[in-house]
Amino acid sequence: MDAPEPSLRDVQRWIGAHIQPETTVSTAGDVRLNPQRNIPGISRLSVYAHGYQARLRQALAEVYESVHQVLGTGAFSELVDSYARRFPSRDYNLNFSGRHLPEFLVNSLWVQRLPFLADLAQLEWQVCQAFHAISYPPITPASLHGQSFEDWHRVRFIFQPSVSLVRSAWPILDIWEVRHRPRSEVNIDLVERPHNVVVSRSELQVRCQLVNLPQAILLEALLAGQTLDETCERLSGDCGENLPPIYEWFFQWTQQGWIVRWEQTHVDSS
Amino acid sequence: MNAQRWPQLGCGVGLRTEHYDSIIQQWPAMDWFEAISENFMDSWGRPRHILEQVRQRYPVALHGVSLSIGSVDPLDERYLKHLKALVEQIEPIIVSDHLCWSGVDGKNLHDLLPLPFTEEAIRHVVSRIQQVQEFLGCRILLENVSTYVTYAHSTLPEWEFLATVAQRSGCGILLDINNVYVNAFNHQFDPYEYLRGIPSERVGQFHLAGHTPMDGYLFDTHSRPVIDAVWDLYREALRKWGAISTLIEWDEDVPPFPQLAEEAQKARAISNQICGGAQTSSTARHPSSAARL
Ligand SMILES: [Fe+2]
Repeated sequence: MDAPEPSLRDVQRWIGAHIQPETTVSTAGDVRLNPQRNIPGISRLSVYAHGYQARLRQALAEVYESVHQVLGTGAFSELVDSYARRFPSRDYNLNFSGRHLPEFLVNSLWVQRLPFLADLAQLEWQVCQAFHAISYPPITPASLHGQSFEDWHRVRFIFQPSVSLVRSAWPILDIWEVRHRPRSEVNIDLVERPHNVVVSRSELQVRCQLVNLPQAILLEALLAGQTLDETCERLSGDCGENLPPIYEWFFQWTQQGWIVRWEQTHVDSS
Repeated sequence: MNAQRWPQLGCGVGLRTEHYDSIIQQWPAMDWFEAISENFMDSWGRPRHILEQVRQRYPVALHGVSLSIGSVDPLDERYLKHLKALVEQIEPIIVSDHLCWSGVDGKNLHDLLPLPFTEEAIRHVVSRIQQVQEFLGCRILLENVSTYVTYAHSTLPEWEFLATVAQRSGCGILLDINNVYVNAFNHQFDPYEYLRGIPSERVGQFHLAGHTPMDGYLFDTHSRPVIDAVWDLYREALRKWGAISTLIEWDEDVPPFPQLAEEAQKARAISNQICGGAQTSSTARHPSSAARL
């Protein structure tokens, strides 16, 4: 007796298992393909398997230009292949299929050899996010003047979605900035050069800039939704007697259009 | 002849990153542009800004690659919402995607994968097209994809499958003439028989592109000029259906814009020769948006 025809689900699982053999288990029975001229149909499935691999490599190389440059094309392809086995794409948009690469790198063998690699990938992902982010009308420096000192310390500042901070023990901005140069021309001193990089977008241009440690601590806390009150304690602990010029920073941030609005936090009166 | 139920836009080209600068600096003469929906629906930065500007000056079609209309997974609600928001903002003249599936069990294979040509697949796809058209509030076109395998349990030829899906669902057909040619070579059928099997009133757009001969098969690379045999097939399609919006696809080894525009001009000249009437390139046309349901 002939085997029953495979269902549509069977067909798709079976094809999926041939394209992503490491991450998909086919529960389907045999799906028969017609021969393609002189070769069995199943051999032709390699066109799709190679296409999947090539597409992911290309999509990630576009986002992670610097990681690609540091590793070289061969090692980068290996990285993408092992990443895709651990994080098979679940995003409909191929452009964002590399969203988990920084996370994947943190615990990988790659960072044992190149300890800055996960931070560098994180910076490139934030650059990609900033490039596509929605932009809201910012508040102006003048609008900060009417606020009392107490109000200032109780509000939560909402930043543009494009603004993010990447803190690293390595000079990741220097590495990123030379991503279009031939690898052989790059010579960067890596030791004891931590970088705190703010990624933002001005009009349509993504900008990366270094900030000092106190500014990074403050920004990190504010971006996480903390108030100045909540942050200052930690900041004075880190900076000792020298109180950082917080208001000057705020002025600069608003000038650059980073802050969109602020929200009053509720005071617990009980 | 085509029943003219779809707008006739002339001959256009795909909107590609490589050409952004030359397009916005020169606003070249071009009948229309086709934008890949996924490159804009999740971007509020430069890509979206460019598309908005292009739309102010030219007719635009939105062409998706991730609808996965044939997948057995549920339709992706997030995808559809983002697509709808883009459609509402850009007001494209045409909204299209592919008659294929792209993933299963939540994993995306990022490819235009072949469906078996069976009654089960027709029923599945037809009901999903109707849901999508209802949700978007407009008719869509679905494109025939190039394929490298066929299933032994298919019960219909590809053209009958495509025609039946379009007729039962009410969607239109974006007929990729190069894909017809590629599949005819790969699966050994007559491409002219394919054309004869497509109902005229369903054809809303043509694609033309180049492909690459591989070891024993043709690969749909969109990396070269259209070959003569595909131009011949295009002539036959024009004789059969009249002038229909035509788009040159070029996605790999993308040439400078003028070379791409020349390829569109070649299509325009062929269409004028066969269908009569001079189609003119324009930078200031404002036809109405995608056909409403
Ligand atoms: Fe196409």
